[in-house]
Amino acid sequence: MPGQSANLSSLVVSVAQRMARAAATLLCVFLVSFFLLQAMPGDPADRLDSPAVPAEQAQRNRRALGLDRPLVAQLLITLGSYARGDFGVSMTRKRPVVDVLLEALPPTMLLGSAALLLAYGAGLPLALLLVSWPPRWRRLVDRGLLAFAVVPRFWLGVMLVFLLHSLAGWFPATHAISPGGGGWSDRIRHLVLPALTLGLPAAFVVCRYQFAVMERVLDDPHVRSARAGGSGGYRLLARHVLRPSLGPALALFAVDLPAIVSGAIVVEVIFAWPGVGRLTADAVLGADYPLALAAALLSAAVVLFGRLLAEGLARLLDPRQAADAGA
Amino acid sequence: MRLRGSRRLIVPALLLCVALLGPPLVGPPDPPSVAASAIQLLPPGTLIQEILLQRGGFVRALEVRVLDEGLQLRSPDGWRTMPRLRPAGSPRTLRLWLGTDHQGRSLAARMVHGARTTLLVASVATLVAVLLGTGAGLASALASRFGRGVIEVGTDGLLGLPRLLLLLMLGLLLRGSGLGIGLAIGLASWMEVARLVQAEALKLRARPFVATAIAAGAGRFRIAFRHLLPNLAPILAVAAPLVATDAILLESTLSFLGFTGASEGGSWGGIVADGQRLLPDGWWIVLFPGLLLCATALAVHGLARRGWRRSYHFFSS
Repeated sequence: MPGQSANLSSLVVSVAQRMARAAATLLCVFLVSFFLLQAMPGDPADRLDSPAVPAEQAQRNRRALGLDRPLVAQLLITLGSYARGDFGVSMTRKRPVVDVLLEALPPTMLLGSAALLLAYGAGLPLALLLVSWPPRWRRLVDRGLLAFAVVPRFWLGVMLVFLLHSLAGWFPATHAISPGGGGWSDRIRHLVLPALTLGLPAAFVVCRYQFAVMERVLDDPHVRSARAGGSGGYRLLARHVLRPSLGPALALFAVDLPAIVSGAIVVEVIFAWPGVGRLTADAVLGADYPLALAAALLSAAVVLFGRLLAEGLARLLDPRQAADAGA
Repeated sequence: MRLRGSRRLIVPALLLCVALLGPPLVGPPDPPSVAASAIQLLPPGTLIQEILLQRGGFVRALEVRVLDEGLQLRSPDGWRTMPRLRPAGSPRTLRLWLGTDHQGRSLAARMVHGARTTLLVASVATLVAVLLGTGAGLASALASRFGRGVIEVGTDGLLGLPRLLLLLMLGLLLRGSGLGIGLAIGLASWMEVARLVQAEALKLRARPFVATAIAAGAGRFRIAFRHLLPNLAPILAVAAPLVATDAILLESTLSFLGFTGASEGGSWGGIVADGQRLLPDGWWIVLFPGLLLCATALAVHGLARRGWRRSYHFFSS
């Protein structure tokens, strides 16, 4: 059918456009990170130099790392090796950047998925509960949710450690696993505090946003007619209010992702979690250019991928968007 | 309506007063006391005595006795005689509502001093972010298709980097004073303002009055400054408090993690970091600055206009 092929070609074009744009964005991230890292005080060779190292040795170190070349040459060389899939060797760890990052990825994915599960698994039901409350409480509910969402993660983390680790003694406060190893229960006990710290503020953000969206949907004509048709209670909420507001929830996911990645850096540093966030902070502060650059690109790629994923899912959920984009 | 608007200003105005007038009133956060060890880690609400010295400065202890041979001070460990201290006047009793830290400094005084850092960083960051964001947003709304694409990709690229990472990479600025930290946070947060401004400016540009102005021969700069900018005021009035809220939270996060050089101990985040090392004993050093931080962030966030405020915003800390 001609209509369908036009639809398909427009889909291909829009996908291609998005890919091109994502590639351009990644290149932009690369350039920004490269120059910002170069502008940081100190350079990686300084870390290798101790006062005992003679000047020629220091010069040789610098040359070995390619730091004596002009900036543009360094940029082109790095860009070239990235294009060949070579991400360089970490200067502080003396191992390929890819290995170091791959090693740190599983703990971060565990932490991130636990936090996201908490954010949406607690945020959406809570919003559903709150929106069923009397309308005159809504302003108060919104205020309260904001008050929880605004709590900075570093403080929440310290307070949780104080209450649940120091006083109650229920959960360990640092690392992903006990020294000497442990089973699944040990891993989960280590996960609780970091996941709560990362996920709770996100849950309140999700809840507040979802609450606002559902509140607006409640006044929609289709809800009124469903109500007139005798539908009510949670059935009405789940079928006629929750479903149309899931699209915005996905959009929120895309916009919120950078904030969660930022939060993950804080949480991993506080809880000595052996993940990408802490690795990134260490690399940037330790002027480990190759590792910091790759880590920055990785987090940008995660953010971009999340954005594309959310857009795609929103299209699946809401066919009107696909129709709009095709037209 | 007007009354309701001004009520929102109360808490931020109070913060401003405390930050500007507070430090001279409460004095330096660390009293030049010879016997600071006498009042280390006192819980909130403890009564102490303070006595002025002839050489200047003062001494604080749980109890002070004036004897012929000098001063006698009581600390949690017991009495101690300080023969070389000559008092001026008699001891004064006061209550430390928020207690002291591990160096015998009053927590309340430290928090008042920290308000200065918070205020400075938040204002500088907001100013930088709003100026840059408005500039970039207006430029992209008035640029050609290609120019708009370039600006959008640049904005997206910076938004794709988590803000904290971007801030760490601006480390050169962070090691400076509060001014530098504010500048760094502003440089890391103008992108959202630019997006808001661009969307609003594109909407405005489609309105008849802009078309009329273009037909009358107005150039791009005239359109931007005479016709678009005044109409952007409402959206900037929303964006600025949101940016300021995030700046307050980010600054405290950075100084908690020890990534800022200058604000060591002079910022609420730094105080929490001090308190964390003293847990579980010095819980009040963690609790009160954190509560103040949340309350301040909420009050500043509340400055954004109602309704608009609902437009989602996330806190990257």
